[in-house]
Amino acid sequence: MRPFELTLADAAAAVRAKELSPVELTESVLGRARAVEGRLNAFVGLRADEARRAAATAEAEIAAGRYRGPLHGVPLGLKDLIDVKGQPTTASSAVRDGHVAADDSTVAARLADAGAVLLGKTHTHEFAYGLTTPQTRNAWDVDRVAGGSSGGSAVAVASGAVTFAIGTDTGGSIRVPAALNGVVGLKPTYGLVPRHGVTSLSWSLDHVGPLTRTVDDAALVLAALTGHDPRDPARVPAPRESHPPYGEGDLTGLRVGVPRTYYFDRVAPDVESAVRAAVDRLRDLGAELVDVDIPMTRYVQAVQWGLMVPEATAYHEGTLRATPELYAPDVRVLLEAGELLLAGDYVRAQRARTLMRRAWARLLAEVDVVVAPSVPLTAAPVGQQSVQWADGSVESVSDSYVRLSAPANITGVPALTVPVGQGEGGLPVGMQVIGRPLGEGAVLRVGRAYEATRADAGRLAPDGGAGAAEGAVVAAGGGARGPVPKPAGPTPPVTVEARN
Amino acid sequence: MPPEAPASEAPASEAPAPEAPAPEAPEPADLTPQEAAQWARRAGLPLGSERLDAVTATANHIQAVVATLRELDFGDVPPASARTAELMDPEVSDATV
Repeated sequence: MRPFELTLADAAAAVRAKELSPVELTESVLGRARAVEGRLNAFVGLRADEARRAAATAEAEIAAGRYRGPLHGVPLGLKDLIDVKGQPTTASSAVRDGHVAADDSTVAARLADAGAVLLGKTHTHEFAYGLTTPQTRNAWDVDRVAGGSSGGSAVAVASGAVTFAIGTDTGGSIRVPAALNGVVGLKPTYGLVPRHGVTSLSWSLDHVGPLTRTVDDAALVLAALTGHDPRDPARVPAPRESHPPYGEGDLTGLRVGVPRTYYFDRVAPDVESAVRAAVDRLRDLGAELVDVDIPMTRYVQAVQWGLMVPEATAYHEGTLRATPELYAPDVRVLLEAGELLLAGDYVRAQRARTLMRRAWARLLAEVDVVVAPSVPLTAAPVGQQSVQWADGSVESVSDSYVRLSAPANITGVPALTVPVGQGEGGLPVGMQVIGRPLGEGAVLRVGRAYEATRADAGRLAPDGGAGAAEGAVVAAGGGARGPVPKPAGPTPPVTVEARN
Repeated sequence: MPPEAPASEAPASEAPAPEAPAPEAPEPADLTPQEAAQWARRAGLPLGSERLDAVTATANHIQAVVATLRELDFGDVPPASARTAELMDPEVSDATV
């Protein structure tokens, strides 16, 4: 196995045992990144020389007996919303031309302290305000969207171009691209990972978290990121549940909520089938499956938009007036339209969020976790604008990707996506595991137990996106089983897509 | 890239009807492009005429989505705070949903 093919946990074990040097690992991952970057465009920029220097430093420290932990000497990518001192934070936007970060973000500083090797910054949908990351292509099929907004991070992990990556999630932006590229993504509890130095899309919905090849890897990265930071107003105390109360590989006694409503509505049959099979596997591992009803589903999109739209517009208030022409058209129109939303609508969304959090608290008092699809359809073809569901409804691709993610952003509860196989065309499917506030231990425990049952856990995307995924031939009649793609084309003016 | 796709034309997943719906009130009216221009000027964001149609349409669509929240009777429910953990206590009494 070549070093770039190693998971974080395996690479860390090899580095710790001095069977693999950080320099060898970094060179291998850099080589892989260069080999796939032309097709995938996951990176805003690779910083090879700096990465080599960091790897050499790590190697010297480890040789001297100063091993810092599992991230020491391991290459990563940072979503380019995350400040690194002396480097630009482009947000994948011309608006940020000439920007140089004055200081490290908290997460960048913590990763540096852990000895991780920054390989480069990864692409985001501009300012995280979108679900596709159009610059970047899906690691399994370059004719499919990467997902977003942490598309570069997910694609880099899935293709072996980094060993792990960091993303942000305001309405699914870690979980959506992770699911669409067949990797693990964790949106931690709101405030658990400090956001200081991370460009905001929507302060009250933003989260920072890891994208990795396995659940074990996500747990290793999370441990390096958490900890009190007084500069984040949403800071929370240390996790209450650092040691999950369940035995390894055994979910006996765990109550797993399976939604009767919302999460399996308007979901493609191939996605539903893969997720339900994974849920059955949790039962086989000893979990008790409990039917649950999801509260206040009618108001999810209204709350998400009522919070995100005005907060995003407020963040961009100055540059929207100074250099509006530098924004991509899709982002500019949303920022401008956000100026016209009433304060009363924002307050109403915040009050509805209070109700939604309380209702979810009652739900999560009855079960330990809720499991559900991460996204209702696999990666859409580039350029596809919308889908028509079996009930006749039409939904934009972006709206559909955010639909199943938004509840965890609104309520702030932790949510993990873990690969559960492939659907139509060999494209990855993700299952979401949603837990109690600060219940990352239980969420990771469920994901890890499931993952241990799969022979393909931690796999890379086939050929790093060199061609269509295995068997990725969409049958002419595929629409009869899944959502029907609607061709791209001129769209009526009275439309908008849900973002982030 | 213009705003690209229609939102769902079907209702969102059904939730129970409010037990005590808010008093009937007129639906918020859509903005015309001229009104959008005036509102934008009031916000300190002059919009060129070439921006008006797209911005107005987007603003009206957003308004149509968030207007759903007017169905809720909030009683004395306050806006959410920044702290998640504080608000996830299931013992806290609820308003009518």
